[in-house]
Amino acid sequence: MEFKFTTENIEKVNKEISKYPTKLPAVMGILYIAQEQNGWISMEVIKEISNILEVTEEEVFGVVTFYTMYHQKPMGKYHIQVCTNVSCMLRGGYEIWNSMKDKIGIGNLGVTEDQKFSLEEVECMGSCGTAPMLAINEDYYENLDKEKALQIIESLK
Amino acid sequence: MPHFILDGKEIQFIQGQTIIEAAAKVGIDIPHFCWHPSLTVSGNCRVCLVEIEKMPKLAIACSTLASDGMVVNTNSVKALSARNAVMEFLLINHPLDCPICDEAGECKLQDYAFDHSVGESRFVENKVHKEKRVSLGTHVMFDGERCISCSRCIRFCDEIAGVNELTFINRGDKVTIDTFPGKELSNPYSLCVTDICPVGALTSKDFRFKSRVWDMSSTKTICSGCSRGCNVEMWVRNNEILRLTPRYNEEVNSYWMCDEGRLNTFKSVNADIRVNGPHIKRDGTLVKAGWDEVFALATSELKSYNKSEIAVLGSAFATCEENFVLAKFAKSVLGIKNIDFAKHEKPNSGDDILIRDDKSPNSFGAELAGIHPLKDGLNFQNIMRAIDEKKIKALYLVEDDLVSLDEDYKKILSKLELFIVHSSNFNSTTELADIVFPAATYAEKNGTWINFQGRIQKLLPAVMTVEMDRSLDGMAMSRLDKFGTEFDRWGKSKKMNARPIWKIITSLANALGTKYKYQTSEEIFDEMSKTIDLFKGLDYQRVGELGVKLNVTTLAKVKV
Repeated sequence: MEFKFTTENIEKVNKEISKYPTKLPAVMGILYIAQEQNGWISMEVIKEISNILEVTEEEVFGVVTFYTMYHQKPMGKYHIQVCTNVSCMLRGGYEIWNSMKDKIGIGNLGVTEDQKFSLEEVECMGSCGTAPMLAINEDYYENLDKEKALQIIESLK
Repeated sequence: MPHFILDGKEIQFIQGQTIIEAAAKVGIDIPHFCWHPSLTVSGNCRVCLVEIEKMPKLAIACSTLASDGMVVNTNSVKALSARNAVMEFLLINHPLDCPICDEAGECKLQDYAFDHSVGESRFVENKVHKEKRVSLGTHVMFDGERCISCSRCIRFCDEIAGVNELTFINRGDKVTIDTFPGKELSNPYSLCVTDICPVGALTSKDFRFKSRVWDMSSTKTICSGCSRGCNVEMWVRNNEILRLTPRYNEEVNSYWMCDEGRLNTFKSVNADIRVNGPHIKRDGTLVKAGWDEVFALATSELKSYNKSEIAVLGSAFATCEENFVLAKFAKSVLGIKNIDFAKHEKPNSGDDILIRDDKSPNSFGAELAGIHPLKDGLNFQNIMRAIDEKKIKALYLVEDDLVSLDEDYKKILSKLELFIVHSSNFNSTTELADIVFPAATYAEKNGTWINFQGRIQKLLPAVMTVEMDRSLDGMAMSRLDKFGTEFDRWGKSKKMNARPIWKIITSLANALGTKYKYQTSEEIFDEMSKTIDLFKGLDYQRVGELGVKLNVTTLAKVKV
């Protein structure tokens, strides 16, 4: 399936490119814009971005696979990211992670059949002072415990 | 000149050189995996860590610029323990499958593990498993677990082959090398990545599992694929060529060669359709005959034609020496003027890296050695026309498959009354011949070729014919050759009953009553250096392993 940026996003893309002396560094920002529009980074997205930036597909592909925040397959409507890095782990991060897996019934990087939820175990999201935490799409939920976390999921159902 | 001290030795350098470069220039090898003299510096393997006085931390020799008065230690306690730590780290996820790995014996990781590692690992966890036996392209196989992520292959594709075909994917301990989904490693130089891979991660599909490297002999010779004349090592076991690898010559091919040359040039030497012994046509088919019988037949046949009815075609695949003797034979023994050779140009098949349009290795040398029409003589096109018009009735052709150039030549050549061919393999041209002399291939003889730059380069025999002996003829020898006996399996090698062109021509000339005394190719070369201006002062010793560029100013006058 061919991928093209919307007119609105093309403006954002051009703004991103204008930030740097060469085109290549804009690749990360543009990938994020593409992911917002498309939901995930398909091979067609990579081809389109490599055309825009005049770099090879391989270069963009390397960046996409390096960073975990670019999804290489379609994710759920609510993409739940649970931190199990040091601070969160010490304050019960794994308890939350395990309860999420049980509640939604999928594992790491799994997607529910109805495409509603997807789950990912992540490293530090920079919210150690309010550990343990999880993020749903762009929103952080902090100072959690198992019950609070389950309530949040319940409210989304 | 500025200088720095490396392990107590004073080393001169040019401003802008890194420590590793300056050391390499004077022949000191600082351990390295990712650094390659022809590629950009990436500095990711960390094995070249050295201690530099007055610097707080160890520095990598591949990206640290040498500066005047610098004192560098590669063998201090700190440097040694750092190198050992890097080795331990690189080996953490390496499968240590040397016993089944093709690279074993020429593996940098293996060598350095022996030289720079204490040989103990503290790693007790499970190794990370990655994809094995990944086909990256038509010629290259990838083993993800053996890879140490040095990025040499990626940089080679970007910087030398000019196509960005490989990339790192994923990160950390999961990092591996791949092409873009749906694409392949398909550049015409793809197999060079197997040469520069410091471990057994990238291997040649053509050579995989054929031989342990220490069981082969390697001979420094020249690739026959085009007029570039890439310097190569020819690897032979049991008198059979198993692979070619590029040999460094900055003036010609640097560290590289193309896949076509590497894979498809030597196969004909090992082929089943080799001409083994002289052949004569009887009742429409070629049958084996004795040398003396064939010489007698050829001389009596050649005598029965007028000088104007005979043409001689030399070859851009034969050596300078062979073409020289052939030209001399044609002029002074046969007394003919119709001498030329066929060109093998494939327009637009070359590139600006190595590959040339001229698919023959020695068209320059053939011309220079005297293979061109004499005054009033016919050139190649006119010879073919004259054969078609039955004005030329006898053709003497060496080492060229004319029919492969043009199918129409088949009809023309079948009009000949006498067709004598020197050929290493049976092909559609030998089918038409009355007499076929078995020609030694470029891998079975001494001689020289001149490449398109006018550089004269030496061929060395790597494969024995029945007349040769690996040890007595000073050929390269492997461990098996040295210590094997005739009762060993590898001692029973196949040898062809074939001779170089100059040897056959010498016999023919003698049979026709002109005494040629050539015993070796070198004697012919010495005669050439006395009679051909451009060769003046040259001998085999001076041509050496890397060749000599002929005088360029005079070169312009020679029509190629």
